[in-house]
Amino acid sequence: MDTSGFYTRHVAHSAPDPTHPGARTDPGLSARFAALLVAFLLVAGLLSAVVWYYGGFASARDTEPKEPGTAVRNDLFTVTPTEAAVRTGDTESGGSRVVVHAKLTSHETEAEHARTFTNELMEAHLLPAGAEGESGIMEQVRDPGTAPISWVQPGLTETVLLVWDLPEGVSPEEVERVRLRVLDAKEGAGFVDESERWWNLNGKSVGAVDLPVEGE
Amino acid sequence: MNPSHRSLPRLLRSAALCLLLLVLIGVVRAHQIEFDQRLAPIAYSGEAGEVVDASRFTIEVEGVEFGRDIAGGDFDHLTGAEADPDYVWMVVTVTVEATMEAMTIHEPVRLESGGDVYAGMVSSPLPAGAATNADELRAGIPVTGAVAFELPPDSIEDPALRVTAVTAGLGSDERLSSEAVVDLGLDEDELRGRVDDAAEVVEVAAGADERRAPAAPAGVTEEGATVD
Repeated sequence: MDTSGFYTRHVAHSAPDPTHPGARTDPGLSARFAALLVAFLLVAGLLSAVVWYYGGFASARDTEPKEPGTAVRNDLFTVTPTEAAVRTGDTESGGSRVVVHAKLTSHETEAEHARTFTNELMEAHLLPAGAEGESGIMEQVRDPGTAPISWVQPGLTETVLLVWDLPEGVSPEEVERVRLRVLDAKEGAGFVDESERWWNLNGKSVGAVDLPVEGE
Repeated sequence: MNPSHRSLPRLLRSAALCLLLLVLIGVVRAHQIEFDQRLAPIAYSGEAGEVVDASRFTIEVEGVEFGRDIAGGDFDHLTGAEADPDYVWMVVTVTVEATMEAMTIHEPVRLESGGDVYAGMVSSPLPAGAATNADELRAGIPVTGAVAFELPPDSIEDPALRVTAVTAGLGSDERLSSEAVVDLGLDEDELRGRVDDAAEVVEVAAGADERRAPAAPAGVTEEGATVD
């Protein structure tokens, strides 16, 4: 019975290979393998360091604030803020307000509460005061300061004024920039209030625009 | 090797049953009434020029006017402000009569037009929104007034007015109240003609009483009522 064929087939891997004279038979790390490993680790480490240096491993943040005139879009609307100002001496509330000029486009087919836009889906961060504008309303450019818009009509594309009260304790001088933050919008039912409405579930933003404040 | 529960016919039967159940779930879900619809106002429809009976109130559309600008009534605060050339005002004159109890008109009144739903404004003497008791529609006493919509003229298509009335004092609670949907009966050609011939200014008659006269805060309370 010829067993040589069987032997060569099954033991060939552990047998010394005459065609590679440099190959070693001991099961430990060969010098060649160690060198390759070190080289690989060096390259991988270097690449990781570069990626880390440029912020590649940081958790996803809100997108960086953009220039005035940049369009920001969520599922309900697109807003393009162009300029911001502080309006003082409002007779109605006595306080000052921050006013953002913006082109607004509604993607909805039904009229939607204006306060959904300014109170729930947009935030006006006042810098460097570190405060946030309160009770946002929307006004028509042709009719500022008198009658706020109650409803944003379907498909509306118009330049409007987005107006927020300055919170108490923040003086107009403390506001040099307004960071308009646009939140992600979803239409859906709430857990307790099951009626369908537009709202923001998670506080996530789809973009922000920084606007320098000029006096009005 | 091939137990009976693995046999091909049984497998096929199970798969078919699963599919059937999935389809049944889909059918049931499709027929499920949405939460919003369960409590939505109960709608009654009719045509312009006839008295539309919405059970708890009746409404009759008496006329539709188009204008580049609007004045009078509760729209006085808009007078003087430059009219937007991209829009046209559509003013609908309606007579509303509560049939059982005192009611107010729920804001906003809506205009359905080619798949879009626009919100409109109500002028006195029609009571709307946060009306006080003095403002309400009393049962059996018809009140004529105007509702107005500012619309992009090219997108008006087969317009229908949708008005909801609620028991006076219930404020914004429109659940299970009555609603009238009135087809304004304006076809394409007529609409184009009417919009092209729009008046410079549509003058809305002010209410018989002056309780919502255009004093300084009138515009604010009327329009700003929903801003909180």
